[in-house]
Amino acid sequence: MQRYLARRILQSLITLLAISVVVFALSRLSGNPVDALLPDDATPEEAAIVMQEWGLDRPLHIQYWSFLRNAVQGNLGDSLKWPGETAMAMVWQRLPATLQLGGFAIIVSTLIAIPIGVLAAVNKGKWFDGFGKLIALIGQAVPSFWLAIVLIWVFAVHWNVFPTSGRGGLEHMVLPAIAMGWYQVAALMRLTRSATLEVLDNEYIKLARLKGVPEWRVIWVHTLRNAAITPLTYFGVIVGYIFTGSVVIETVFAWPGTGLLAIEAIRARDYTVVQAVVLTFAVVFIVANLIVDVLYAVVDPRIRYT
Amino acid sequence: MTKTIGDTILRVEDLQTELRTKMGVFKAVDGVSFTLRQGETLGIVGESGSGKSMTALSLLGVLPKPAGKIVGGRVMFDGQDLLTKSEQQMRRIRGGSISMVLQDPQTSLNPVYTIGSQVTEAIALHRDVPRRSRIGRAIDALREVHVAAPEQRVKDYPHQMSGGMKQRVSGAIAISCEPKILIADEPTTALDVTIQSQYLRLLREIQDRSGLSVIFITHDFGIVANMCDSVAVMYAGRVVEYGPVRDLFNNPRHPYTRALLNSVPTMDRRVERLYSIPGQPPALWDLPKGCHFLPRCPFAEQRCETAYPPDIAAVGLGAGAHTARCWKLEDPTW
Repeated sequence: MQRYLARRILQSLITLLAISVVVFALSRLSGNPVDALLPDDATPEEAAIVMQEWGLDRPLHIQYWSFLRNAVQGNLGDSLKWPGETAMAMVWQRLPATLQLGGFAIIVSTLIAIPIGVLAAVNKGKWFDGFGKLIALIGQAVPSFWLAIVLIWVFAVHWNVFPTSGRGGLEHMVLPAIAMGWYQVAALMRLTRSATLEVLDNEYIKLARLKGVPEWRVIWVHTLRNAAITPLTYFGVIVGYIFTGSVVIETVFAWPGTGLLAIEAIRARDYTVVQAVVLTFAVVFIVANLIVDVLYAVVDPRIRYT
Repeated sequence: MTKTIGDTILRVEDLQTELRTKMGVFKAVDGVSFTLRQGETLGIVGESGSGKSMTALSLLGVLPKPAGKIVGGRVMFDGQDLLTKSEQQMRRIRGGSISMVLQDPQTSLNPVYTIGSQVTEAIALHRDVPRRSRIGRAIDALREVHVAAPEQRVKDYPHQMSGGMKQRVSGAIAISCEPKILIADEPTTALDVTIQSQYLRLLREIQDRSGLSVIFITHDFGIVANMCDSVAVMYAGRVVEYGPVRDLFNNPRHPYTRALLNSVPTMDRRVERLYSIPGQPPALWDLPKGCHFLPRCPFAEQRCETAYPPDIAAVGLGAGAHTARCWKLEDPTW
């Protein structure tokens, strides 16, 4: 297990290195940041001075090398838009809000999706299964930004039961979490349903019933743990979706997290902050998948890593 | 080795089980009757799809859902009809008084739980044993089925064991609560021949020790001859011949039984080709009007086309009688 972990962590670092190249390249391709920094009437000479000051006149590979060296030390440069702040500090400041909302959305959607998926499988073809299908259809067909607007309109404006936007107590998280999580509920539920159906067909489920195991135990103890592998795999993907989705949802709900920060930074062409946000998302995604891989072995004893 | 056979403990009368499928509703078990006495081993023989396993699952009320449904008959056990019991009452019987071993050891144990927890689960459900002594009971049950080093094995997962070993564990689960009846649904079909004979010997040993009654579902006449006291031959959902094993082997009455026995290869006879029964077993949704065996029967007559024959006694009446469902039995020269 330790050897496996060491290898996986090394692989993750290589992935991260590749991502850093992409991030670096993309931020250069998006235009010259100097144009955004300087007023419109600045002369080419003034631009050249700023370029030199920021090191933007050096060859790209040199720029990348210094970017990487600093990045390893946790320094992703200073923010261009918010003077006196480092890019990483901006991210750290906003990250808790995103983790709070994203974590809430993930936990709630899992707690909703898994039981619905299992019960839909157990009641295959009955009304509950149809109800599950309806939930999945809405979740997978409706775009989250539109869902967010409709939720605000109905629950915040029309009925006034939840706040329209901003960060605050639990009531502030309800609407954004629904908008973020519905798609995940749909996907996770369908995966759980099909995995459960497959497991229910097994002889060991029949044997459990023949042993006199009560039906609830057959389903929630004997079946679920075997069926859990598929949704667990998807869990790593969910973390990615939730974080990238936060860019849209946090903007709609004015939730002061890293997603909103990303939009603000892109608008201001604050490329150091954009880089910091994207790299942070990448790290979160990689760590989530690493955790999923370790959890496999916990759920299924047949999976052993060496 | 002498086996004592006692009173009747299970009496199945006219059991009828329907399967509802896309092809329509049909009887997978159609009027099956038999009795099982204490210490007796009853073999249920037949081709795939003849209703052997469905009969066994019907006794325990664990039919495939939602397709299977028992629509008639009685299953008398301990003076009560199991078919009238509630799901909760049946749960106490399943694995408690009547337990079952399934065919494929590779798939009949739950891969994500330890052997120990799967044996103790049955004990926890049926016997009032304090939590801490359950593992001891599980180890005892494993020892009884000759699992080596059971103290270590309880911590293992099924994938760490061989097929034969897993089938022993299934056996340990089945006998851990000291049932009165063990239903073995082709328990050795998936094992190779040497492991098979070990397993059969083990079953006999357990039976001798505990006086357990066994319903042995198989399609192997060799096993029947070896293990069983009486046999029920099933064809297309019905018992076509039923009687003491010696009687039935020496004097098979039903053309189907004769054909089946004929198709068992023997070592002392050289043959060009092994005998096989012509034709195919009928589809349950497309049964012939009269006798179900009619299309394949070399002795078919006019009356076989119109009516399914009743049980006709070949030898004796009541317990130990030998009966077959064929019109031919009315003919004294048959």
